[in-house]
Amino acid sequence: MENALRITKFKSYITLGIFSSVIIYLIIVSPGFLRFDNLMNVIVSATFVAIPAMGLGTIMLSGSFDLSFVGIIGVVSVTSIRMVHAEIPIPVVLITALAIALGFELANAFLIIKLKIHPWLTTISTMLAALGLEKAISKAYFLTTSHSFFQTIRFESFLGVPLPVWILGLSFLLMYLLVHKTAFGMHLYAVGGNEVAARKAGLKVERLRFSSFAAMGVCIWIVSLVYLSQLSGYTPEAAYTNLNEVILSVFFGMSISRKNVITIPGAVVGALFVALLANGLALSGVSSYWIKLIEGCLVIVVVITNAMGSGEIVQLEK
Amino acid sequence: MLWGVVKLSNSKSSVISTSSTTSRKAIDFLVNGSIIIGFVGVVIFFAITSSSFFKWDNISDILLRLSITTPAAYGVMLALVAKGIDLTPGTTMGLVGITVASGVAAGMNFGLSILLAILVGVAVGLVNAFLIAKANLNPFIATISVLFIGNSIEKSVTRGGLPVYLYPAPPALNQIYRGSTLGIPNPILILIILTLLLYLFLEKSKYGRRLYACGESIKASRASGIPVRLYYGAAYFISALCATIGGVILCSQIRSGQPLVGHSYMWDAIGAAYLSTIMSRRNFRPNVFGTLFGAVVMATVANGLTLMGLAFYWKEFAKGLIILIMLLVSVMKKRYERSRLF
Amino acid sequence: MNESLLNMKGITKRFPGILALDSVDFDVPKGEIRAIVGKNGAGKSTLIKILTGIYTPDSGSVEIEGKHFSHITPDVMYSEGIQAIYQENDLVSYFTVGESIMLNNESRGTVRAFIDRRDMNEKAHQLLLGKIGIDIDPRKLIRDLSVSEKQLVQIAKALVREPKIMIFDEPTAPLSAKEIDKLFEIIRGLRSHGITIIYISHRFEEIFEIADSITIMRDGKKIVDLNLKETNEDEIISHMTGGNMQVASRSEGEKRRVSDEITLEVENLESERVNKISFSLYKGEVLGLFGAEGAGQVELVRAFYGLLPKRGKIKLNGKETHIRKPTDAIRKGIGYVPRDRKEESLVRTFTLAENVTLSHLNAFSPGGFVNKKSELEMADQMIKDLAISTRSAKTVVSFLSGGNQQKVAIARWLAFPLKILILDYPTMGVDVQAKLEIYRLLKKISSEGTSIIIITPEYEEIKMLCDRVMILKDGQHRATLDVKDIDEDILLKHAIGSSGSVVS
Repeated sequence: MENALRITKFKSYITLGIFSSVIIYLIIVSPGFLRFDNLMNVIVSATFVAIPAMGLGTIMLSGSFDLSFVGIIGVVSVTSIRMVHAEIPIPVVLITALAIALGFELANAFLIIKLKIHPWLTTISTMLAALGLEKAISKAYFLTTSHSFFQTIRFESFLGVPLPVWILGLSFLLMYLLVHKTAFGMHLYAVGGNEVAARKAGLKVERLRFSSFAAMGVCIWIVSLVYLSQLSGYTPEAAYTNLNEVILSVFFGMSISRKNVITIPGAVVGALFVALLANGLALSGVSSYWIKLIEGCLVIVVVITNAMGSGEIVQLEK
Repeated sequence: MLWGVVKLSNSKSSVISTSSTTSRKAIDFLVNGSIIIGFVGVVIFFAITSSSFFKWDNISDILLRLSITTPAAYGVMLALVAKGIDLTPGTTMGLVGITVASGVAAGMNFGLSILLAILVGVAVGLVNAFLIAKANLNPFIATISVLFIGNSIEKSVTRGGLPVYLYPAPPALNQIYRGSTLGIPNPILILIILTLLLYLFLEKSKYGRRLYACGESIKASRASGIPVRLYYGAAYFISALCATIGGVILCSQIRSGQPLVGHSYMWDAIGAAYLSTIMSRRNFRPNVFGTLFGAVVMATVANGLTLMGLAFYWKEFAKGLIILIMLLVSVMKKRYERSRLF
Repeated sequence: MNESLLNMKGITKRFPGILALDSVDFDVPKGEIRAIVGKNGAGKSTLIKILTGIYTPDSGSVEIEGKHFSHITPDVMYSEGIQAIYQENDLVSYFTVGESIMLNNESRGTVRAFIDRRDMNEKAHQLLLGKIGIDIDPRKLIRDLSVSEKQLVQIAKALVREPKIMIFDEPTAPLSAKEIDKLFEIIRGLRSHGITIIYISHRFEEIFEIADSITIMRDGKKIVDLNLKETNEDEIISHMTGGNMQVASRSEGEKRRVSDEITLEVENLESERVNKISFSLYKGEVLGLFGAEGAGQVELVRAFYGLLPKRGKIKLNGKETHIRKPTDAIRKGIGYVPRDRKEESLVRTFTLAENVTLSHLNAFSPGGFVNKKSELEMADQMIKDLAISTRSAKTVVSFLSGGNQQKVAIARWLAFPLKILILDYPTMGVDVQAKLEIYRLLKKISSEGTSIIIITPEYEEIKMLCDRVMILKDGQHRATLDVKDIDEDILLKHAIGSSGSVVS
């Protein structure tokens, strides 16, 4: 056990070290990696992963889990597109989208917190239902839009930086302040770390856990809009293909944190790292399937190293 | 003597209360009864909405689908016995199918391809067993990661998801799905044998008994000298082997190795295994025949929905809902039982 | 004479089959350090649980500084300032010291929504330095603290709420001598700030050092409150035991059956909470294992049986053997019945028959398949021999009463030749009739040559069952005495008093 603890102390340095060396390697090996517009591309593609990762991280640090967000993103996207096609004004679309996202997540929360059903089992079936639902609404077709709202987000920049990057930045700011700078965030960490102690300290555990799911709902809402913009419409199961990366980002963030906890900056850095890695590998000519394979292996590696630092979520209670 | 002075009165009855046993039996009866009635109702509904439901062709379709999903379901069942879950049967089936097809397509001897495929299944089983029993990982995280890795391997090896078609399919391969032995179609025969083997293993052998003990009380098992980790690892290993069997049958059915084809079967497997826990009369204990029934339910529902002309995504939606409903039922059953049990 | 801060009157609490507290009066003046002692089952933990709101009394009332309450709730604890410091960690391992102490009391920054961590750390640091007298960097993580430092953080956390009453439950168990001194300094400091302290411990040396007065409980009643300056250990112990009730020991009137053959020798066993313990066990003997809670008895047997890592030598019948895991022990004819039968020894969802054969399945499954017939036969035999009341061997054990469950747990070991049977408080929560039947059973087994080690906190059991009793204190072997030579006072003196020395 002593050895494991010693490794833990250096774990964040090791991970950062690997991270940096990989990036340096990619910089050397692929020309054009460091070009501004390439980097902006990377950040934009990281947005799809980073925003749900922040939401997932919030749920996980308060002691729960949620797989279903990939399906909910789909449902929100397809419903919004249908409404846009039906010429419903954008503000209404946006509000409905938020309502749907929150509705699904609070339903998850009810099942998990009130009925005490296992979070993994619940959200796996909610995910399946949502994925089916999204395709049912879209009949599994792509649905495009050239509505100015989405086109603006896709193509416009502010101060030379693409709008999606601004969206990421603002979302990050919001989540960071919420989770790391407010008492609410600290209470979430308390609930996730030692629920009994949190209760004894007088914290309202159920309410806090519900709120973490609501936060995820907001993240789902924001990222759905980004998906709609960047893809100029709805693509079936678009978010599902990124499930892997989102989970990896959250755990990656945990392994670079000094305290070995899930953090918002960690999740975003994780998403950036994954995006950089994928981009760099692609530029070097690696096929996208091998990239996915590497990401899959990374999840296991990261999870095992986190387990050595006794990450409670990760381990089996034995 | 002190004891002689104190008046002894055995106030506690020997059994906590017979009424609690009867009420527990009543709940079981109620729940199982409703499920069966519900299933019958669903069958009647399908029969009404599509005239071809009860035709022999269709029934045999259901049975053949069963021969693919049930082995995978047995795998998930074993993981449930070990108080975990196995999310990898879908990807194992895909990898197995691709291995067989690629081997044959590359000119390899059929038997050798099958052997290779089995090794692939063994590899998945060993990885799962290691991650969960040795590295102590949460089974959801471990098997979902293996799922992701397996998926990527499936796609990479087939260059982006191109199926490996086998024209013509080797006769031996064909025989697995389409041939029959002693008048019974081979896939059904395989299913029967597998069911029997697992039943004997879980319910009749000492290994099955110990596995159940490990799942139901780790501490008591340890104190009785049972190596819990070994049994947990074995459960996941055997689970992968079951999925392998399903994968070979599937490959024979579609005469190709297709990536991601095993996916939809995985949900059937999870639903079926979980249903067996709800219908169990032994305190949510996963069991072989319950899983078989669960697989029948899931296959029938999938079949009926297809016959109704509903697109594939409605099936997904339906499966998700079914599993959610099962979760709700199991929670309610647990709540009621907990207020009665010791 | 200080007025009462806390006045509990007529507190009565019943559990099924047990009267845990019988009209107990408990009052403590303000600013006093009051210790509570009582042997196992005396009711002190029930009393504390009522004081901390975990239980509700059936009758009686609680007055705090003159304010009257029918019972304590979490709100009352909060408003009246009752804080308890337990051994279990009430801290979040990845929080900093500052965050832990100021949880739910966070300082706000200029933007009211955000917390000001710097200010929180300042306040926490001041609290630790000023009121407790210790300098810990508030930015340190809880999991990087020593056990003693964690305890101090818990105390600081309690102090934030400005308590009137603080309860310390066995706080010195994991501490070193220096850390204990520091803790006592702090507790005295708390007293000087007017806080009333209730101190629960079984260590007499500490009680005499730190406490002002002592409440002695026995059999659910409050016996007496004494000023510690005006009493001594012997007097306290005799109040705890009620003065030497005559309990006939088993050895009286029976010829000595215990042979001189030594079945087991243990040398220098070291494990969690076990400090180099050595002892011997004779064939056919019943050896009692006695000590206060946490003295190491449970860890001793578990380490011996292979459930805990250990160091030390074990000799069975003169030959050195290695027991690394339970299978080794089982194979050598050693059985173990853990204390918590519901979680640890029985599989609750298995039937009686299945539980009985669990540790020796190989013998019932020639060729791999369980021979259910022979299993049932064995189970029926056990049901008869042990007088287990059940409708059949196929009953699921969770439906059996406690006593019958315990019999099943023991039955598991009786099917095969047993050299040594270890039992951890087998009669806990067992009705009187079943208790006697278990005693009869154990006596029978030992007369047939099996040696028995039984952990028990009940003096009567030791007298009735045991030939010798081994007394442990704080992980050390204090004495092994012939049961016919002891009375309860002597037993307690070795276990919690300051007499005796380590047996090597």
